[in-house]
Amino acid sequence: MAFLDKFSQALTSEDSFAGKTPSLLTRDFIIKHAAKLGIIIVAAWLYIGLRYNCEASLYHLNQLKEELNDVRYTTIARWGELTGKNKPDIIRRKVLQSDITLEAADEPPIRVK
Amino acid sequence: MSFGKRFAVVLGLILLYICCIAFQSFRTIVSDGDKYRALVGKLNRENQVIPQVRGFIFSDNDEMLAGSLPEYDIYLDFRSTTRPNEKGEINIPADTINKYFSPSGEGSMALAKIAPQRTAAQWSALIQEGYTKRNGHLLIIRALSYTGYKELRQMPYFNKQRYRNGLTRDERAHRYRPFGDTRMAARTIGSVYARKDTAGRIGSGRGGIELAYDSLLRGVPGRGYRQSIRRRMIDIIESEPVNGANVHTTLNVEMQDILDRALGKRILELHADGGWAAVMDVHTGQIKAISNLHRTGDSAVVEDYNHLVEDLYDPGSTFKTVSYMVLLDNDKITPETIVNTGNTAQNPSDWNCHGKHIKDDHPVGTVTADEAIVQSSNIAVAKLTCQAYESNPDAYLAGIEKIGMMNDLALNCDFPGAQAPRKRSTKEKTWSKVSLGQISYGYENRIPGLYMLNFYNAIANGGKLMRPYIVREVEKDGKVLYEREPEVVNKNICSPKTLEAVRHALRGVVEHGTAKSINSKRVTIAGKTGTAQRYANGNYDYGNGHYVSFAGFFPFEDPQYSMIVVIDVRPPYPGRPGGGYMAGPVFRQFAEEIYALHCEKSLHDVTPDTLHRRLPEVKRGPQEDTEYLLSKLRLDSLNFKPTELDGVKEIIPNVVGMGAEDALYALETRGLRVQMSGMGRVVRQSLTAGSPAVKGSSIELTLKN
Repeated sequence: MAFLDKFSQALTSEDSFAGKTPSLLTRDFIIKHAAKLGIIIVAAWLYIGLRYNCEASLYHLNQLKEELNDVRYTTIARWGELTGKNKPDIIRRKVLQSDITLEAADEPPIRVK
Repeated sequence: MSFGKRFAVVLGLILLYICCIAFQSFRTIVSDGDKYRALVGKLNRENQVIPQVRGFIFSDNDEMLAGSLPEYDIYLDFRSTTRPNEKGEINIPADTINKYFSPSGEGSMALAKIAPQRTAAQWSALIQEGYTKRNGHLLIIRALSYTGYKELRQMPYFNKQRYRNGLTRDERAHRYRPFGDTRMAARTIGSVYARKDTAGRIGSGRGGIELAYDSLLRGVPGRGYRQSIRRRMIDIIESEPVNGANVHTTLNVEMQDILDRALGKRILELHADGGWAAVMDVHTGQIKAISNLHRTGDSAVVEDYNHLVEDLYDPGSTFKTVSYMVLLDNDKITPETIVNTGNTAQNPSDWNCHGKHIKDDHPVGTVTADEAIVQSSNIAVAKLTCQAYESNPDAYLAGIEKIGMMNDLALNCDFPGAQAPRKRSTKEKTWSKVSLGQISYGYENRIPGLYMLNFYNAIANGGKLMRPYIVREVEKDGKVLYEREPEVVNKNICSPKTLEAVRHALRGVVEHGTAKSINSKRVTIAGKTGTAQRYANGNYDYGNGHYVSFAGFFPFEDPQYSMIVVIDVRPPYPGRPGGGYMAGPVFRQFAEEIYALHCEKSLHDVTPDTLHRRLPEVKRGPQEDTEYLLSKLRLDSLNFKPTELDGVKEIIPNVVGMGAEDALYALETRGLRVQMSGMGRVVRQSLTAGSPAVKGSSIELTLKN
């Protein structure tokens, strides 16, 4: 207890660090530094908001990229499939196997105009 | 308690709290630091390579010949589900596996559909066995395509989230070729390294155009890092990947298909070892089709390495045309110069040329120089050449040099591994007294097939020797990075008079010479046959096999395409080896099909039928076009009275009697939707002519011949 008394005296005397430094969370302190506190709060709010938006944008961007890649690869795959199926020999065989009476031309066309 | 004491207590507690935090932080950094650094590394992966997309390779009319798609190896991890056990491992419940992977379960059926190499029952057995063994990395499908993977992910069991079904995958870039890997100039187009080779290359070109233009096709990968955002790993890009440029070739898919079909069929008929062929556009030097086929069995041929540019072989009798050109252009002979081969049917004989016995395939007796080419007489050509140049063989070689066909064209910019012709010189140790004669009819000079084709192309092109090429343009995002124009290497390989004589002889080869079996009524072909013994085991021997060939151009009157066909036949031969009847049919089939598809006649080529003066059948259609046609065919004097179609747009016209195209035009311009069935002319229309045309309504047409 004596220690505690001495410690508290040291803290509360005017010459001590506690005596010389202003008290925090007092009304006067808050009024005096209201602008600074306001700026800190606004900055923190902006930071959190912007960071959230940034992360949301990155997430959305990533989703769009995945969609774009999906469309690209699906397009290439379908395009390739159609190209392969349109190989002249494949069409020729399908025509021969069907009841279509088309025949390959054996004379070139005549240009009229 | 006084204020001071209370303050001291509170401050002391705060200080104690701060000390505890500092102590715990110190402990975390020192003892658990590695564990948390590893966790950060797992969550935030830096220096990620963002892959680029390799460029496309296109045909001459922008059909895809090669493109990049991802492909996947699919694995199942049977240790994954939601709740971990005491060891931290997680397991898929057994009832889930039994439900989906019984022999008739949805999962088994899905796998059987995606990967039909196993039945549903076999898939069920595989999965059950893997589950029983708690296999954490069971490979179920290798090299699954992108669309296959998408389809799999929509199927029962596999449409669950990863930690519920244990599905994992390895992704890699796959070079996709719509026409497959075994035909359609596959080796000329080339391939890429799918997995890392010994040099650590992956995704880089491996032969063909893929290798030659790898630096442009490849692109540049991007860099970034992975970060967990909203529980998903997202790529944060620091530098964007640069996709590769696209290469546009001169290859024509239709021509390539016809060439593959004709050559493949002939190789199988002859039971040959393989064959190679190429087609060039006469005026530009563009290579429109190229095939290098190797027989793998009794009924299959596949693309082999590029023999046409990488092989050096004796051209055989196709080289006689070169000798003939040199002799004519230097006024050593005329087409009418007589030469006695001494080899007749009654008295078969060969010619002893300094100890080398030169033989003819069939006796020709005494012939003109022109006929010597037409009948492909080795003795005649060798005699003419030796008589003219024996005292000065360098002059003969200089004559060949002047043509320019033996000069290195640096074709390896388009064809990696391309060889240049081996020129002979009198200064070489291997030059002997027989060399002049042998070279004259196609031996001792080793030439890639593409150079022989280029020579015949020059004959077709009015004497202009072109540089062959197969890539015409490289572009990226529509911007042309590189463009190639036709290049003339030699404006005149010989004089016009010599050229005319050579062309006459080549036409004669097909009309009544060694290639008369391929003389077509539909298209005029000119060219030269070749039959050369293969050099193997240190000598030329009949039993080594033969390269039989035909090189030429069509149509003779106005050459559009030149072509060479070489077939490698081995004993037992299906008849005496000969370029005319072995390689020639490939040429003829190609020429006839392409002539009908890619060439056109003019009205001047059409002779009006003056005997039967009647109006031909004309479909109902545009009056102006019909009148023009009839006037050009000089049939306009006939009694032609067209009836005008009702031009009112609100009324359905009578389209009976019209062809499909004209009926479609007449109806669609009135806002109607047309459905057709059958072929020929319209015989019936579902909506009555003269009734109001309601925009958007459907009309059915029946067509018949």
